[in-house]
Amino acid sequence: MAEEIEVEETEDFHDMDFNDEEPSCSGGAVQARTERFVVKKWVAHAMWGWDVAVDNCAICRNHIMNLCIECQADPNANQDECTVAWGECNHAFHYHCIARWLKTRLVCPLDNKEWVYQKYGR
Amino acid sequence: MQEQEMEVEVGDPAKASNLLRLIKQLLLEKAYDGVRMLFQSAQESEKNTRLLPHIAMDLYHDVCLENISDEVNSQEPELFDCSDELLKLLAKYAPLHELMLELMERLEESSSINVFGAYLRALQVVLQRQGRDKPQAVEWSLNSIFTHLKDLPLPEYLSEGYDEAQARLIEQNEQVEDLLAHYITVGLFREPLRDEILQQDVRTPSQIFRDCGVNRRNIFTCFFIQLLGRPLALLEMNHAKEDLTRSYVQQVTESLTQDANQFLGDPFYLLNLVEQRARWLRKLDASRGVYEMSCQNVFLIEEKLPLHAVAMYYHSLFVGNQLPTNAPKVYAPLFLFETIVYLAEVLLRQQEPPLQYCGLRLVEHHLSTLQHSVPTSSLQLDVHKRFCEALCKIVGYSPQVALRQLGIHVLRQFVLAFDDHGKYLILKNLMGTLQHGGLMGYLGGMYKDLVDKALGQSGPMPEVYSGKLFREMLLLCVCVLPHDVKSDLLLHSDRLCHALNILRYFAARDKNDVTGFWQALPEIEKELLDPLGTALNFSMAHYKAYKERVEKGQSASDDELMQRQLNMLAVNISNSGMAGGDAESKLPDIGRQEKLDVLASSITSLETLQSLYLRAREIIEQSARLRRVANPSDA
Repeated sequence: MAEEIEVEETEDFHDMDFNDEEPSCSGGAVQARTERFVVKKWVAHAMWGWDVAVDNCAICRNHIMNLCIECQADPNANQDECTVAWGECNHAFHYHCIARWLKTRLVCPLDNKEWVYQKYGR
Repeated sequence: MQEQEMEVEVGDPAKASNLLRLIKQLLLEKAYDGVRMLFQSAQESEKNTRLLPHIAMDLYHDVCLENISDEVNSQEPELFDCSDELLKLLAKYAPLHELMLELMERLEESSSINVFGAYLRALQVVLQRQGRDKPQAVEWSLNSIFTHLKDLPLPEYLSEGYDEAQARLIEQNEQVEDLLAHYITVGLFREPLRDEILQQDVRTPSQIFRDCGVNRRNIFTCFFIQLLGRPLALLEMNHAKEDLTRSYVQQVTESLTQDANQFLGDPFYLLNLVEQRARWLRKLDASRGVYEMSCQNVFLIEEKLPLHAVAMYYHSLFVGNQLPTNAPKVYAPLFLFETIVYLAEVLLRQQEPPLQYCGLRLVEHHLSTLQHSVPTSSLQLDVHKRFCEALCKIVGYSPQVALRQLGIHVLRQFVLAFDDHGKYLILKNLMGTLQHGGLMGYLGGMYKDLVDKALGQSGPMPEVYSGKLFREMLLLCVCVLPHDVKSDLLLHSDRLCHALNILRYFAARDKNDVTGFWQALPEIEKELLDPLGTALNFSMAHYKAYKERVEKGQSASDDELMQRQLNMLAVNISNSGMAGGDAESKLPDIGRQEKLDVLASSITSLETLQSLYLRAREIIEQSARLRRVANPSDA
């Protein structure tokens, strides 16, 4: 008899849970509908620029893996000293080129962001 | 005896009619094995096959035409298969031309590969019966096959272009997969025909010259090569040299190329005709009986053998490494190079990026194998000019990054392939005709590198890198300020940056005036450096003032000017022929913060240009001072 009573109570418990879920679900739906929004206006912006997709130094226009233009012009230049510098913006220039440019402004010539050296080398 | 003969003669059609009814009844009862037994059993087959000529077309119309369809294939596949087998069987006995016409029509209208394959198998039998007779009928049949392949639906991006990642997954697309399945089916179709033709259609010893007329062998040759063009060519951007896998595209392409090789004998034969097709176009005149199809050489007819398909054939031969080991080795490298340039130019002028890509690869391959410089005299061919125009258009305006990158590489290799005078002529002519500032600057840099190399060598300086020709290059092509002080420096910044870099290079490198740079410098200062300095000051002041007004919200009039400038650029892009959309459309308005960002970027570009300008001036002054010290008398 006691076991029978326990079973009945369990069933009642489940029924109660089921009944409770319906209002929540219904309430959620109502809330979702009230929170909906409608797009009234959309304005697209695009930025573009000319490019010739070659791995060149954007300052001296020589290939990034070759000498910078002033080292190229100097037959006695030490080629090992003409390295490449990468910035945190992921743009690369000859170290000689970017070092001279940074005397003018401390930004990347390509994206106008603050220049921070990331690495040197070849 | 006479009565018996009469009975036999009268009885045959009747027996045939009975056979037809029996077949229909068996099919109706779904006794498909019974139908097969009629033609496969030892007791029945001989008798029944003799009756087929009488009922073949009726059998085709009453049974095959109705049952070879997608609906039947999906709902009653056994009926479809049985009808397919009947079609192939009756193809051996049906009236040849009547059935051929029916098959051509059905092939073009096929709704799926299953239906297409069924009719193709029947056509195979018919063409084998046809033999060498009536090659024009063979041609019409093959055209029906090609028409169907050409009309299969394909993803739009195949024509618009796709990147490397997409290329690797291209065969996963359902439509592409279906197309390749069709091509593979056609491969099975042509295999026995190919073998038969190679055995039977052989040039006789008494025949001195190649027969270029309409014959079966030539028609099939055109068909094989035609299949290498669109739409198969649109899948060719998947070619990756470092990839060891063999895609279905590669397998299909290789199969077609090998068949064409066997039929041609000499795979370079068509190269002999390229110049005739591309340079000296036939003047069609119907009143004189000269029209497209009247040509006696079938390989000269565009409709039969599209030139872009010929180009794809040689792309497969060279880039795809399908050149047979027994290919003749008597052709001059210069001849091969020039004819390949013709073909590449054809591909570069196509609208689809995959075809342009193949054109670039084709030239790149040949440039990499040239052993000697191309003589200047080759530039008398107009094709070099057209090729460079098409190539520069791709390099400057193609929306595909990979094409632009490959294109600039090919352009560089192309120029370097010529002798010194040829290099000079190409560079000078391109810089004199192009409108793309970045590309013009790049070409100027190439010239500077060539001079640098020449300066490092012993011996006399080539005339194209010094003296009058050097002066002309610098003054007319490199150191140019398009509109003097009023030039839009941002619009021409690429070109001007290159020019300033070139100037500082020569000022630092050529202190002994080997090239004649210092003789030209006074005019360069007058034509470029002095007005550029003034223009820089004006532009910098203008943009800084504009930026200040935007910050204060007082830029209405300037905004209108900027909008007009942006719209002008948009029109220029549209006029280049590469950009899509309406040329009349305006760029969208941008907000205040975006304006400030654009202006800041513009000012940075101007400052970069200014720093190069000042550096060039500085080096010129330093070098001039050193020259005066070294040569006081000149001072």
